[in-house]
Amino acid sequence: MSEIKNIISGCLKGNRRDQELLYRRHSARLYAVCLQYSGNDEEARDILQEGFIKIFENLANYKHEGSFEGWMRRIMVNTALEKYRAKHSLYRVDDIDDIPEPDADPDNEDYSGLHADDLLEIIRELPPKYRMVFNLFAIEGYSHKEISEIVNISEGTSKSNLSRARVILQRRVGSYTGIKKKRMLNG
Amino acid sequence: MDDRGANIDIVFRNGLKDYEVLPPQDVWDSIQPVVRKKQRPLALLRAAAMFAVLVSLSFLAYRFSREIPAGLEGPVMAMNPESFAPVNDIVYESQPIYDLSQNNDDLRSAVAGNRDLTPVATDNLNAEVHFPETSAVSNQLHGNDRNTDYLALEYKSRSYLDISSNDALDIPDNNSRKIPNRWSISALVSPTYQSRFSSGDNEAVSQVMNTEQAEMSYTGGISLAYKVNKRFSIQSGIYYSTIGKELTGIKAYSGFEDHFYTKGSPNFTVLTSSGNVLTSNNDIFLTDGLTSDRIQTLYNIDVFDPVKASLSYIDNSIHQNFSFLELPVVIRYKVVDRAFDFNLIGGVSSNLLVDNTVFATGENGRTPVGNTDGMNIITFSSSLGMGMEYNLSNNLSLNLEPTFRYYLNPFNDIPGMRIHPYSLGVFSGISWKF
Repeated sequence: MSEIKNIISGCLKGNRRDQELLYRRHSARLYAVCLQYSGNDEEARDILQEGFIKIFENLANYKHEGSFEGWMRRIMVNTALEKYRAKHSLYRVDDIDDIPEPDADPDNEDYSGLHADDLLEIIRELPPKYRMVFNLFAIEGYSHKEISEIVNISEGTSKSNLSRARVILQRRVGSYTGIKKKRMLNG
Repeated sequence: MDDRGANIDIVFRNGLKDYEVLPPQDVWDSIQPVVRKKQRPLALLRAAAMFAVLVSLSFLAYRFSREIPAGLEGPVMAMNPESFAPVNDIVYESQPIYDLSQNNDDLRSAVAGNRDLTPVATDNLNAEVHFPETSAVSNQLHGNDRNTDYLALEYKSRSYLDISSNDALDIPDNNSRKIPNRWSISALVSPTYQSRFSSGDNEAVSQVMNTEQAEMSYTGGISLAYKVNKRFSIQSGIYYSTIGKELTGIKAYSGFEDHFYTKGSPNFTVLTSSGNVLTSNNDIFLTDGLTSDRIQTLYNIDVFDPVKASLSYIDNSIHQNFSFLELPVVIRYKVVDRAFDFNLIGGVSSNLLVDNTVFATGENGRTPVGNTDGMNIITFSSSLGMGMEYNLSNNLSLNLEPTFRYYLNPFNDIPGMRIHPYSLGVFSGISWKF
């Protein structure tokens, strides 16, 4: 039996050590997912907490088919979706106006030098509706049809939200890289 | 634009792949108590059931070890126990009460060992009278000459098989034929863990079952038992039992009264493995946080936002509860009859549905939601258990009975699905015999 199967088996028996081991091994990766889907740290913390409780409650339903990490990630994403539905379902579509104009070349496609924490910061600045569609489409790999069912929007809205999200992200990435280059040039 | 869009997608997908951020330390501190709290009742029940099984097996082993004497190697007798009586069992007529006013010589002769006493009649016509002082305990059994059917008459020694010990051989005598305290009344209560056996191809219900969690339930009541003979007794009574499930992921809000507009029909229908829950409380708003298939309503999250409407959040799940009055008919077979008795118990019950509620539990207590539609009013269940009985006195005893119960017919008719609940409980209580 593989190690993860042993840990799962221990968790199902209520073994406290295995429960903590499971959490310690996977919480950092899953917390990054939570941050990616949330607008602030407090919300991410809540998603992680609720998501892990669901993971422990539903461990018996895990069939050992496919990646266990993928199974946990889906639970986290679903938990984030629940929060999103409860809080942001009627978010204004014209939120794009709230985004500050970039101060660097938006056509700059040199994304080198961008770290994961920069990307995370950029993605979290997106309005929730765009962030959710972008995450589901670009990161999780869902189709617009699937997203329309998950988020309860039309396929057209999903495509539109993705398009706007990409525009914002390109501007922000351009801004980041431009600022970084200026800093490097200035010494 | 498409290429650039796909490009930015790849930047984020690859950049965030395998990215890790350590969560705040106190998150695990918040998760752990919740997980442990949910697992504890089940773990305790399992431990109690395991303990009961171990105790039962120990008593069975003890019983069998006592039934097979270590030195049993000689010839085995085949006999009709009623055709003989051991010499020692002869009953003497009770000593007459002497009137002190009578001649003291009579008293003196009696006290001095006047052996001219007459034995009372017994079943053994040819039984000899022996007096403890003058005759050694005879190793010879004297049977009824007219009906002697035993094959061997001699014991090598008294220690070979102690026939005065009631637990070694069930030799009926005048006393054992009479069963004292034929009736007993008991009060029993049990926490029960319930689950179900299911078969069928209803995908929707199969998925719904994964979101339902059994809740600890209770059964209690009073029973009356009649002892048919030394081993068998028949028991009936009346019990009150509850069965509960938590429908996880269904968020409940209150304050919907001011917003709904359909009259005369339930606002929400929730699919469960026990049937459809219909809301009757118009103040309740329900939304499904796990799947999109369980709730049927005009008020889905697209047309009504409970947060924006400032509804009061109650809980992330609702509870489905059923209560029954049970009328059991149970047969008990006593395997071990000692100060600590051991019984095998089996029977059937008819269960009358007396309560069918669905509620949400929040900080302000229970809020009614509705009820489950189409429930069978009467169901039948079978039970099998082991009963341990510790006799505190001739009349009073303590009982502990791990019992498995299987419902013979489903609670509700679910298309394409047969769901038979079962439960495991450990009854404990007290009995009074009369």
